[in-house]
Amino acid sequence: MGRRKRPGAPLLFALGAVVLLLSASWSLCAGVSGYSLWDMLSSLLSGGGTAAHILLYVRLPRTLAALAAGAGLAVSGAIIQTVLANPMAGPSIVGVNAGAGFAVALCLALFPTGAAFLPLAAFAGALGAMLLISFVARKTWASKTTLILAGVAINALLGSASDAVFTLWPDALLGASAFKIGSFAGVNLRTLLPAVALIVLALALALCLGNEMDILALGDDTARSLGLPVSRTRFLLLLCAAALAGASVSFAGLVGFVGLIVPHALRLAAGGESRRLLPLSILYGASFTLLCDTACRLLFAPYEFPVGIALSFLGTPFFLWLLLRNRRRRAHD
Amino acid sequence: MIEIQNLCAGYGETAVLQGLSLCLADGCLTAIVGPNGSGKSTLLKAVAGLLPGVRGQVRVDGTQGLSSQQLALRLAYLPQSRPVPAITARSLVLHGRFPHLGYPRRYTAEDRRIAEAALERFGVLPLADAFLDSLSGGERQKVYLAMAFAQDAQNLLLDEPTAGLDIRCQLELMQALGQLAAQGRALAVVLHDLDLALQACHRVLLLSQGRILAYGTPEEVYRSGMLARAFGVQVERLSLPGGGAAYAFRLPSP
Repeated sequence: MGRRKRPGAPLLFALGAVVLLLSASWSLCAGVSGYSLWDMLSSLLSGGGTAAHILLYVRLPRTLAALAAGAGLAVSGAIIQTVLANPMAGPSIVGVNAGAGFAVALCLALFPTGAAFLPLAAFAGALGAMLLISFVARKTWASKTTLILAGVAINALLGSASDAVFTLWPDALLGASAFKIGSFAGVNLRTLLPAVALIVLALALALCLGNEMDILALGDDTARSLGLPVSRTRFLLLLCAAALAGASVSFAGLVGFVGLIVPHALRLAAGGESRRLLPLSILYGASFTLLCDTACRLLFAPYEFPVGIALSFLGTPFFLWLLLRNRRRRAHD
Repeated sequence: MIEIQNLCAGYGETAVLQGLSLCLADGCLTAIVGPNGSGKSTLLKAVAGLLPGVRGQVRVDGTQGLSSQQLALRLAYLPQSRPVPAITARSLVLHGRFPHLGYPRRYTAEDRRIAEAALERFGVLPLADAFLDSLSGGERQKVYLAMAFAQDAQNLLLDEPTAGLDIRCQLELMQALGQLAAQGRALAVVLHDLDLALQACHRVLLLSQGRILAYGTPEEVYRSGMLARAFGVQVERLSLPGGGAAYAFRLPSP
């Protein structure tokens, strides 16, 4: 029988770091204005100008947004897949993004000037949806496919709730279509920084809980017999996942599939050990999102193609492939 | 040593164990046998602190009311159903050291050395870097056993550890468990293979409908006639040339 040996971790990390560096540089340089990174840096150092303005107020926030959302959503997906023991789960699949989206819509409707509170509102919405799907998974012993169906139902419910908010408070509808599709256009540092701070905190906590996450994946009985406080650990991890997805949604909108594709692909390539999976998800999630966003900016320049649509085009076939693969596996079991 | 008194346990409203009292002594390998649904796995889960609403007393190494981490330092439990996470054999065995970790929960060089020794003891060191899903059922079983061994607990509870193993692996495993008992540990093993239980274990606990039908040496349990009663089969003891005995089972004649 062929043994799957672990691939070289240093190679994967080095490759991830190089890809991230290149994709971040590309994101900073590429655009319709045609300034190179060097032009923009020179302009910045010489005291300002159009190039410096574009770098500071357009490209840097956008690059930071794609980087933070990509890392946040990928790690959120890795956690959700482990906690729900379901490789087909992801924040956009099980309704976590939709929960955050509903909370953001409600916050915009009730507190139109409260942009600083959006990350917290999104976190609360994501956590609510996360706890709901986790409750369904645990209390009903739902199969992997049933859980996904439950996620579809939660997605539909929260999507309708968001639409209801936009109908009742038409003012909140401004920019709602970009929010629903998912886009990094128009992000600014004022809304971005509180969310990035929340993402950094949640990433740090998730990295600290790596061993606990691996032990949780061994099943509740084994985890308890190893002395792990299972309920507390599960709740902490769900808290991290909700904070990561919620904070990302608060500025990027309903960007889907990053949290499904990236951790799943990495699990296949590098295995599921958290001490490798989580940092790799940060590197590759950020790179993947940055690359998609930059490509979407340039594809039909000067018009912009929303990154959320591109991710759906990539993510939906991947999800269908996962469903078919899971079905084939069950047939062989 | 595990002392159990008047243990009652079950699942929700369904009572499975009904007032069990026994002692799993140090240096002793005990087989827990019984028909399906007799409460074998429930007994292990109740002792391992995994069931809510358990009544009665369970003292582990003379102490009761231990927290889950304190219990994990004294008692290792291997459940019947084990998932196959996408991690390597080495990582799985290393997680056996989790109860010994303080904050921050990082494995030390000593933990890694103990995990390596456990892999070697169960003959799976060459598979250390292979992913669990690439191993055969028997190899995976040994890796899980190495994890329980790495936990370095005085007491081990194993639920059907021989399931899926070929006969040589089963005998090697029982030999390894016998060696652990010889070092002074208390081991309880749920087995479905009665012949293996009667041949390889120091004591046999026979359960039926949540009660103890017989508990003693294999010879005592065989002579009690309770095996035939519990399973509804005829049991015959066959002396082997060169010493020892084997047991044969057949359905009673109509």
